[in-house]
Amino acid sequence: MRNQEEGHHLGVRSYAVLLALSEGERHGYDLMKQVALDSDNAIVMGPATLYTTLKRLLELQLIAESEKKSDGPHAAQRRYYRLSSTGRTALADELERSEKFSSLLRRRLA
Amino acid sequence: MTKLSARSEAYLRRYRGWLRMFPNAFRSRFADEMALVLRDQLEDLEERGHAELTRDAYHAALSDIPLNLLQEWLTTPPALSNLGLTGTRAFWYALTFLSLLTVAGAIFQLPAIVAVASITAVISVIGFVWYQTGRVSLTILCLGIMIGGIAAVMSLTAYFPALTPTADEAIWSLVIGYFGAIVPATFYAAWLRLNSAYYSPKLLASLGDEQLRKLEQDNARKRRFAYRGILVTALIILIPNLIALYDPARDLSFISTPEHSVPRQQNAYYKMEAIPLSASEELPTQESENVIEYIEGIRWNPTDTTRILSEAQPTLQALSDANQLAGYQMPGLEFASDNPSQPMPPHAFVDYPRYQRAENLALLSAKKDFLSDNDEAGLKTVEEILQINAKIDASNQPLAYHSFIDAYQLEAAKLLLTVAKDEPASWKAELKQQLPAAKTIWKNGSRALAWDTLDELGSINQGSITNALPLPPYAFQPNRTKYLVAEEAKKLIDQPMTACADMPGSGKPPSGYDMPTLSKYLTYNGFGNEIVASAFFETQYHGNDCNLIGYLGDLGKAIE
Repeated sequence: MRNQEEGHHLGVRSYAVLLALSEGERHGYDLMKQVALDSDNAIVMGPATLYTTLKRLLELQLIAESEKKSDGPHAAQRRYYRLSSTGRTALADELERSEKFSSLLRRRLA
Repeated sequence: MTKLSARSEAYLRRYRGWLRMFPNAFRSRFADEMALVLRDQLEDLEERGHAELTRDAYHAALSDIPLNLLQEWLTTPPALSNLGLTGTRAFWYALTFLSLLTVAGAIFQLPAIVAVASITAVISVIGFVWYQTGRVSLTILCLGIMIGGIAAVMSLTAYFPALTPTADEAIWSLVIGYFGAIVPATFYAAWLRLNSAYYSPKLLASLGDEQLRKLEQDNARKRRFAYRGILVTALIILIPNLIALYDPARDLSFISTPEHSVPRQQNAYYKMEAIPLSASEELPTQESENVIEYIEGIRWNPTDTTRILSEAQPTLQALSDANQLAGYQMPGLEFASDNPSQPMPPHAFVDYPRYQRAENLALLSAKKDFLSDNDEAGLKTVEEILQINAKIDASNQPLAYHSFIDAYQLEAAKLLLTVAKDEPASWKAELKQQLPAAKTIWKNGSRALAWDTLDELGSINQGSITNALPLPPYAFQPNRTKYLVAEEAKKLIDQPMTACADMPGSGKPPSGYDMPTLSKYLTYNGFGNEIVASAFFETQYHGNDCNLIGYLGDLGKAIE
């Protein structure tokens, strides 16, 4: 996560979390499963990795804690997270950057 | 919500315990949620009837902690922030301190090992800080910290004599500490890694019961493999140590006996005594010879010897003055002046060259004492000794102490020559006075050979201890033979002169030698040959000296 505070680069895990939240609000375990699903099991995060990543994203205000409350067991501890507008912009930037590199790569390989 | 099994509850409690290691700010905000995620996983697995996999999920969650823990501590400002220190900076200060400590250890006690260890530790931590986190970085970091920690502890023990290990013990400790900790840890990490794949929620969700059962079997197989790996590793580590424990040289219990109540560093002497001769039968010939070459290559540095001798006299005076001024209480100095065969105390490491010189000075000083009884002849002999030593050193011949004997022999020969050449009555009285002095010179010269041999062994052993040379126990074995020869020589020298009657100078071994024992070495290795040859040489030499003394005695009677 080098230079993440400057917003230059986010790690692949951070983008995976942002991507998982792009479909809606999720809590920890749900988020963990979605990341694994989205990455075709390439990114498997343990609880510690997940929450250190969430902490960074919260600090950068790319995500925010949702108002949504669980009505199931352990409702008090269960928190939901959502993508912020900044996070959505970061995802869009990443998409643009990826597409740019992809098209460049396609041209060079052609 | 399903109630968790007792085992899963236990996992959860333990996991919560581990989470306490996170910084307070992080823990208070996220620990409950992290535990909840693990709980969700465990519930999920149990609900699907695969309770066996809960252990894997728990271990995977555990293996996920260390790297993130370090990351959080490094990026969380500690309370020291009031002093303008961030966690990262404090970490670097600590690292610098550790590096300086280990480098100091490298200078004073264990050069190669500590240097390598400290460099490894520094590089590992830099690698971790510089690059993105990952399992490889974590492994390297843990490795580096572990080696650095062991090295730092080893360095620190140098300052506590009761804990200071001898060279081979130091090596063994390090090897045991290194492999004993690293290898099982690596296996365990690999085991966790192998199992961690199974807790993937998506994978679990996509597999049927039959496939999950196969996974469990496969999992068990891998776990057995890991356990066997740990077992084999432990055996590899333990077997040589157990063998070493049966080596009498490693039996240090006698050190604490009253008659051998000596600082631990000295025990190399006693180790030599503790090795039964039968143990030498297993000595690998070539290895012993290699070790001897190695030791002697270090021991005999003619340039250094010449320099030390040239500095001896002025340094002796300075040392003596300093000791008098300090009332013989100055640390380090009293060792050098009072007992040259004492090993270096740890605090003497700070000035090793000075101490080394002081040891030589003290040796010369001891010789000067008995020579001073002979006034001018004695002082002249000292000069001759220095000259002969310088010549021998210049010609790169080892065993400089032989020159002492040559010098004493020379002095005695000069007296003999005087008797033979001139027989004026006016000299007879003077010769009558000088003959006892000649005998004393010869006797002390022979004793000097024995003592020098013992001192040489002390230096070799001391060198091996202070420099942490990787000497295996059997490396001391050939020196032990030398030690025995020197001890025998001392006994012979101290025998009454009547013992010379048994030694007519024909080369017949003196009765004090245990020739069958010494001869055993002849069949063991090359060094044994050398020792036996040297023993015969000593015998011949001794016999000649007996003749010389007898001749001098006859001359004295004739003069009378």
